[in-house]
Amino acid sequence: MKNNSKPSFEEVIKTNTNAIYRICRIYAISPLEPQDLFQEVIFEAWKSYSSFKGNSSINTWLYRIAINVCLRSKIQLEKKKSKTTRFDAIQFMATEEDSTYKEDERYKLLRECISGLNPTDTSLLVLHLEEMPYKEIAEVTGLTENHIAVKMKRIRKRLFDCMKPKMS
Amino acid sequence: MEEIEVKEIWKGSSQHQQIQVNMDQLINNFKFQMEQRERNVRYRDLRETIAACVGIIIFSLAVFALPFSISSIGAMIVIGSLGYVIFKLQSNRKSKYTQELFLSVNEQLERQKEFIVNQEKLLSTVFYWMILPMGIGQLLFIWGSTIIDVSTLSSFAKSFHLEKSGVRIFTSIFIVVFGGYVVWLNRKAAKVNWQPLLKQINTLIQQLKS
Repeated sequence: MKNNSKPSFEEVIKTNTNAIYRICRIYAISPLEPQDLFQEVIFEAWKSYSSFKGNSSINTWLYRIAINVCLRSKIQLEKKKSKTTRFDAIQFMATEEDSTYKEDERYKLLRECISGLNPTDTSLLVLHLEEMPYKEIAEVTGLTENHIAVKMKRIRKRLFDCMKPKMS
Repeated sequence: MEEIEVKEIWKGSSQHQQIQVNMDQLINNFKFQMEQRERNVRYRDLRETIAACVGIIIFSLAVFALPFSISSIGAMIVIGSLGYVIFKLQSNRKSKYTQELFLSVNEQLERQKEFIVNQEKLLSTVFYWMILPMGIGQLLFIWGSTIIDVSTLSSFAKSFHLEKSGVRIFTSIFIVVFGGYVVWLNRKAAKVNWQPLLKQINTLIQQLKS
């Protein structure tokens, strides 16, 4: 989506709410909650939205912010453990438990295996899991497409080596 | 196990929570938060500027009142140093590029690194850009007036003159000790606050590029 018809900020957030939350959830480590990270991503996106010139797609732009905020939080966490003021404007409500116990267990396992990766490999993996093509992942990370392909091969192997024995 | 299955687990992970965003209210909250942050920064800058201005006014009065002497040269050095310190502190705080989170991850990490290196350097070199020039200025100001014929000074000018050598020695020792303490504090802050961050950033950059 190029800047020819720049979508409204509200539209951008609405379309990507779940994806951003999934990414934040992976990077959130106590005492930092996914909600706090999610709010921070939206705040940073809001601050930068006016400077979005459409040189990249709006999704690339938003994912860049999400990954940068998440990586920054990992570094800052060591420095200051200040608590974020949580706004009531964002409500997180648990949906009815329609998922099975098995699904929860599978996610826990995936999460556990992702936590074994370093933060930058995690960012590549989550973008890949969000169905982002290598070309766009390269734009988000600033690496080349070939580099991404090589790294993803390695990351995927590590992930499956971790998950397969436990899943079976 | 197939990749498609992993993607399903991943996508399904956000189904447990429904996220509702009240955009109008949220934007108002953001504006408030932004204003609050900006206000805090403005107040901090204002406090520093006022402190420096007080110093600049006092030493300017001394330059004006005292006849041209080593003391007035010392006062001028202090005035210049105070101005430079404020400029240096405020220009180094402008971390605009660390806020540009829409840059690629690689670029953003490099910029954060640049910012951290600058902050670390600023604290580690505080002796050269703050303590040394200001200390020299203050010591010249204190000891320079010993060669002035005090009887020719106005009563206002005399208020800048430390007559007793004991007071001069005590003040000089205080300036040196206090300067040393400030240098120690800043070097400690560089080591405790910034060096670990720099190490982390370097690790992230290395991990990203490997």
